[in-house]
Amino acid sequence: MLKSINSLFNIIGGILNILTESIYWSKDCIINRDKIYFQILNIGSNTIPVAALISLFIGGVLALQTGPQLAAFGIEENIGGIVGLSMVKELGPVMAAILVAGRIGSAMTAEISSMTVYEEVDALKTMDINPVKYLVMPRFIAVILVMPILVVFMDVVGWFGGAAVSSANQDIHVAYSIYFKNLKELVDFIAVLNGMIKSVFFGILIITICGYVGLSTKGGPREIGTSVTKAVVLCFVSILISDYFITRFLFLIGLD
Amino acid sequence: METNRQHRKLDNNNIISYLSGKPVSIVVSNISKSFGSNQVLRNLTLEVNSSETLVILGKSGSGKSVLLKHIIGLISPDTGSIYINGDNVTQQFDRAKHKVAMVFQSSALLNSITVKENVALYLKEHRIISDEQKLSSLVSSCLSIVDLEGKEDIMPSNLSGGMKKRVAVARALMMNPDLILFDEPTAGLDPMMVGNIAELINGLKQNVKVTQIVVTHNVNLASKIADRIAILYNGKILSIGTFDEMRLSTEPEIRQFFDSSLN
Ligand SMILES: Nc1ncnc2c1ncn2[C@@H]1O[C@H](COP(=O)(O)OP(=O)(O)OP(=O)(O)O)[C@@H](O)[C@H]1O
Ligand SMILES: [Mg+2]
Repeated sequence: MLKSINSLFNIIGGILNILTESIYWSKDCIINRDKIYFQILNIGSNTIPVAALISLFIGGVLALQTGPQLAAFGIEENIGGIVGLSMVKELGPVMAAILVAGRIGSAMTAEISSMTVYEEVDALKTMDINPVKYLVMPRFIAVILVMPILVVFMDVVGWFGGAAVSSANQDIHVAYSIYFKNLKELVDFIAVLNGMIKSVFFGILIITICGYVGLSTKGGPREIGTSVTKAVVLCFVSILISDYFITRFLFLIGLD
Repeated sequence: METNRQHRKLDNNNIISYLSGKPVSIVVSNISKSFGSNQVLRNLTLEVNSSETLVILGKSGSGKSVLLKHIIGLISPDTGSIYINGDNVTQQFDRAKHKVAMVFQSSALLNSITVKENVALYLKEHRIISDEQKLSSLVSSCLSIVDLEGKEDIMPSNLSGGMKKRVAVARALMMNPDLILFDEPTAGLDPMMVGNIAELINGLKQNVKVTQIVVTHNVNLASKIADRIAILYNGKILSIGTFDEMRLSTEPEIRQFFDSSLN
């Protein structure tokens, strides 16, 4: 028990350490813009297709779940706002984070932990090249830039998924124009910003967790797989737990 | 053939004139290191003079790589200290002040970038040479020293083990180091290439006066390059001396390295 609490604090300390180092090395982001640019393209191209697919269906299922209930009370014209807000404030950022953790975080952990196991990280150290600066910082900057864009993209696709289901489903039967009119009334820029801030927070969480787990891998090639699993689980759990607290926080400062 | 050789000489000079390391001395004082219950180094003490080429011999698993990683600051000892030119580097290793390069036993090339990018990595990351053209020509001449001209754009995963080793040597040279640690530089190389590496190490000794520590199982290489030979046995330096002193020793732990190499 005491041991596992101790190791939990070790992990948190290690992640915070990677975070501060990433922030520190961000001072070199201009001269490393090639690497950052590469990571932006990498994150974008690996997530956009899946992001489009899942957010289309998330929007659809949101409408499918809530639409008939609203229709039972005769207030189905409010469906646009409900789907729109759920997407923007909750499902967009959380699903984007889950997707980035699964696609980008896992690959990043695999790459960095294999570099650690095969002494490539040691080689970097002997060349006086900071591993966090070389391996983590470009992804750190890239994820900060990409997450808000990815989230807005998923929001919009999700809205259309909801709209399609709302108009096509016989139990709901709300036309596109009514759906989007209601959505426009309820979803303001603050709500979208709320989701964007969340997503940036999640992105930072993912990159620092995966960087930490990758760089602290010990042992042989077998541990690479263990590290990837560990990093992804750690990302999922911390995304969902921190989501509650960041929602509270954004509520408290009036960004809701 | 003749022009080819001339070309090689020219490149050699190009690199040699690029290198300017100030030779350093090393003192390893009473270090011990255990991994769990496995004690690898036991109160090991070793002094390396500046500009010296020291060869370390030892059985597989005796802790040679662990010792090198202590000297370059990748592993900290449980007890004891390490000094480079009198500076205690045990806790804090100032890599800008003491430029120590290492050729890893595993080569440790970065697998996601090309041979050229590996060799140029140090100069590029530290912005020592920003002129692309100059960098390219330096990398090319460094690669030709290790007989890898024209391999710039190959990925490390497409190289043989011996080729990777030679890229690792080229990458180490590019740091313009004061001290080079070679961990089995000739493992997997043919006798011709072993001769070339020996020539390179001797060239570095004569022209650049850089301090070198070479871990090897190859007694033939040791005979060509060593100023002194240290025998690592049971976590300690059992004996240290010139090649002939070691070769003529009657101690069985020392004899085994020389006898086995004869058959
Ligand atoms: N990171 C590590 N964690 C645990 N044990 C280690 C570690 N590195 C080395 N060892 C152990 O230290 C001992 C010495 O290893 P080392 O790699 O230094 O041997 P070596 O003399 O270089 O052998 P070889 O000639 O085969 O390369 C071995 O028993 C090895 O298992
Ligand atoms: Mg070894």
